[in-house]
Amino acid sequence: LERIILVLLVVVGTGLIVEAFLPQEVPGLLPDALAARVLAALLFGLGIGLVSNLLGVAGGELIIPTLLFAFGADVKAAGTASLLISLPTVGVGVVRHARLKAFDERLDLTQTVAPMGVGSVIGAVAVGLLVGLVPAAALKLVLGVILIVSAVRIFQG
Amino acid sequence: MQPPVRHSPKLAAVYGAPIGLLGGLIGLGGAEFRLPVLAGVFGYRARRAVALNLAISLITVVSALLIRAGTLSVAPVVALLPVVIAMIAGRSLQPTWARRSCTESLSSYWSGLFSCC
Repeated sequence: LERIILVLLVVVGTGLIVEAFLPQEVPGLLPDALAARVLAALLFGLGIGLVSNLLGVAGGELIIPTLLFAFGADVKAAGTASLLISLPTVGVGVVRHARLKAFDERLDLTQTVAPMGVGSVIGAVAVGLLVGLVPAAALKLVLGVILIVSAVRIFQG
Repeated sequence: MQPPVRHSPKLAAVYGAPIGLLGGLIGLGGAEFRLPVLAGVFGYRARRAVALNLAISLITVVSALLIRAGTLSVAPVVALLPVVIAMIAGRSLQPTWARRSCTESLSSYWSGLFSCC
């Protein structure tokens, strides 16, 4: 099963790279009917949750291509939507770990989480300011490469 | 014997920035890139690495969302909202048997990145 998923990841990654070089936006595979989209999104959400648990990937790199290919979203809106979708999962996870006293070591927070968080914010903000100017094709290319790289890493691991 | 945890705020910030960059650029939380760093470079054990990773992901996701809301147009995201909500619902439907538990050794980083505890 893991192999099937890995092949899928590579195919999707390649698809993204190919699409990056196509002149036009590719329309979504799903019809525009709201009910169909909501139902499909439910199933995709369930499936992506299972797959990302199985593989130990965060989910974002699966959510973004799904939004692109199935729902016809553009890559920038898909990225923002993916962050929104990840937010509850991550938030719940933090609360759960906090209850298990995973954050009771002060040094972990002050020496690692805080500075790495600050670094992350700087990275996110610096690029976030530019993302409106970056061509969508470049983003698809980067995402495609990331997908393939993570697939290969999982396969080796 | 596990080597002691390395506390280096500078190193942490240096590793944080490029991973945060992915959040701003593409919309990834970057968790699976950060986890090997926390475990490998900083020497955290699995459970702690996963927990700290989540906390940093939360910071990254929130800041990436805020900055993107400011710099990108909101309309296409609003159009996606029903899909977003349905996907969140789908993810929360996950059966409990699918939730993995953490291995202490972190022999495979890749299991239970989010759900293990």
